[in-house]
Amino acid sequence: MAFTEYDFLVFFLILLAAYWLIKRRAWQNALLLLASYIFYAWVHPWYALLLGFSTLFDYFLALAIAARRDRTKSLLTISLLLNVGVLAFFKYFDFFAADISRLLIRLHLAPDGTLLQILLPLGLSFFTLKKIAYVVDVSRGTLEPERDLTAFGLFVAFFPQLLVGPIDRAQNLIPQIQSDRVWKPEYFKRAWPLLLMGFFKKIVIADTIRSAVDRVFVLGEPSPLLILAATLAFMFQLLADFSGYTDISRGLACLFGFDTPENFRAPFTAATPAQFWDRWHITLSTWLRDYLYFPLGGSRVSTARHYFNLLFTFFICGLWHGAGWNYVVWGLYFGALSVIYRALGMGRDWKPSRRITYWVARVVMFLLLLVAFLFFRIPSLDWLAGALTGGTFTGSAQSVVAALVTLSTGLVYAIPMLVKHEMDRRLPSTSILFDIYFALAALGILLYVNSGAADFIYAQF
Amino acid sequence: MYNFQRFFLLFLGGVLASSALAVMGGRVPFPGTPGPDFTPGIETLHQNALAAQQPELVLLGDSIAEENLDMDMIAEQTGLSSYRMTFGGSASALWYLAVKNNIVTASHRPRYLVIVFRDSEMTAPGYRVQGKLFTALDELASPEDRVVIERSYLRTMNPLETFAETYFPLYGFRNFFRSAVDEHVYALPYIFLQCGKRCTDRAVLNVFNFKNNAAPDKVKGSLDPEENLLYSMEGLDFETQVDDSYLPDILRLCRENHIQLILVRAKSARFATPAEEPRGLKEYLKKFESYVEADGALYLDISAGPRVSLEDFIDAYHVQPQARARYTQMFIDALLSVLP
Repeated sequence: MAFTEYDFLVFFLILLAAYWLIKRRAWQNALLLLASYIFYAWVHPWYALLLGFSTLFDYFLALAIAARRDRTKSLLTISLLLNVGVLAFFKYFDFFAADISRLLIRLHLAPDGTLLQILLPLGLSFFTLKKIAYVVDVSRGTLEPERDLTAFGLFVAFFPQLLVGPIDRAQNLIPQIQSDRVWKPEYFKRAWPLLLMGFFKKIVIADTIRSAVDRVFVLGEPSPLLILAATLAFMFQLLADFSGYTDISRGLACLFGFDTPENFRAPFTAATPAQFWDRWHITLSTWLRDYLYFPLGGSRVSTARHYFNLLFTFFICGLWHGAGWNYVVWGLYFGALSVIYRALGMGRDWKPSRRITYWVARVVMFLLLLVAFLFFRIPSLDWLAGALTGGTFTGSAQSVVAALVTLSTGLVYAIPMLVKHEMDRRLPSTSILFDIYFALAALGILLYVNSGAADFIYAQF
Repeated sequence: MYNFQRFFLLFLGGVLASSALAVMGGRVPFPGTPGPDFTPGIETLHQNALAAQQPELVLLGDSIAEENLDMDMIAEQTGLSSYRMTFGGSASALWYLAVKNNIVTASHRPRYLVIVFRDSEMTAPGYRVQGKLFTALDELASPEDRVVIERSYLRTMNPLETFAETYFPLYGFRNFFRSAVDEHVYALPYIFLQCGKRCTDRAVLNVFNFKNNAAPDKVKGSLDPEENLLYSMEGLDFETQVDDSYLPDILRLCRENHIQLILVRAKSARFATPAEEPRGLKEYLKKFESYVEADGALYLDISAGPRVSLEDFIDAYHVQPQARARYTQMFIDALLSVLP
């Protein structure tokens, strides 16, 4: 059940009405928990079972850690092994799924390919990181374990965040789950622009660009120019798709009285890799910083070790995205960029005094991001090697035309995002220009919506 | 904080003004009729060809039947004069219209009608009916073919869409609007290369031709999302799908016109091995076979044929030119096993 489906609309409206009719917090939480599991089980009940068991496991383990501080280390290790193990197994299952299937068939343990159809739970990457952060924080003593199983279960399974994040922290969400909630008009006032922009970015921008991008990446040997045009379009598609999902997720959470974190802040205007990761998939980058990069020593170690920490963190970031060498290269590429920029003294807070220098840095960073997202989108490294060595840079005259068409689609549909970005920077939120923008966006949704909307890109991770 | 009331009034004003313009300009009626309308007239090209060539066997299908099968080989080895009616990207809705408005209405009717299909396509009336496929359907349909609008469009629409198509003229106007917006793609080729609309369309068609696609194992997970419709729990529930599909009508039309219908499940690279097929599909196909055979049709399955391997495919459906003969042979062998 995707946020853009009619089934979801019906499900959500019934749930929202029931939720606010119930005045007691405990019942509201129970209802949200039940709804979250229904939402998750919609695709396959097996998903909900996995979510339920893994939630119970971490719930009791966190309680055990708090009760037996002398055994914190071993209990934490068990939790990490299990969470990371399950995540790694499912993430890399695709690599050896066919072999496993053949083996099971040979051993008469599975008569057909059913195994391949069910063993890929959506959202696992996201809720696993949530749980790991929770158990680590409890083991560090910075967070009290949650004794209310419903509240903890809801923290893990909260449906607006379940499939594609944001990767919320227990410190943010659990206190809100534990506080009384009565309907306030502010919830709607905060939610409607998020929902409107989320659907606009997904339905009008991302899905339209998608059709122009996807057809390039299934070609056998597209020209490098065509690949670059498609990658540029893909950057805007991915931003619209993922930030659109986050907006919808935050808007839905708002309507239930929850304030959840943002994930994007104009990432393509960054001037350095550190600035980019401060603005792109923020909840993942802060998670990696707090639970991987800092424990490794962060920057408070020798320079060599610091650079290793950066490379390793981004390597894991790449692996988290999927089982493919292109993701590994993507992660290492960001790691290498971070190291080089740090060595040049261009970190998170870098801002040159001259405006022109800053603009040049932004353009250079954007071009470097283009290369990064090329690795992110390609089907495989072999495919890229074949395309790069297959012919000339521009390819045939018809290929140049195809590149211009692809580029045009990406740029034209990115314009509304750029306009909104500039409006956010320059205008007060009370400006009538925002109302006109939102009205046009709503009209756009009406004109572009169809029942066959594609899945959100990040749902595959 | 943004002002909701002001936004909503502007939105409402925009909807009303643009709707009024669309209705008064005669672009859309109000209230609208949900779903598209077929224009009068039926393309009789194939019907005329059937009359002229008098084939004993007609092959009906999509680009799999067009690209993977060699008609000369089929005619030669079966000893039956053969005619191909294939439409790229088509599915059961178009095949139904081809049978109803071209084949059974022709002055010469073939002895055998062979439909080449994939997996659950025969009971998915809403599959592949949008965009340019609507134009193809329209050519073979007349306004009297309301059953196609009903099954292929209205039943796949949710109540909100139906309401919007009826009472929001702007929603009914959306295809026109989107086409107008998408005209922008012609600007850059014209500015940089003096390549106009026709030149751009030709270039796009040639570059993004499926024959230029990478082999499926090179671009895993790149299948059209619409494909999922065929493998969803609902799509594989034969009993609930069959009555709303065109299958009973195709069976009936063939029976009433004394045409032996042969349904051939094609081989594709959708699943690397039969073991990877969903269990639901296997159950679906068992029921499908019983159903069509009970009605006198013949069912053949060449999906697991060993003559063609995964490496022979250009993309998920089409084989390399050098594998065409082997694919056709596999098809002929299956056909000869049931022909008298």
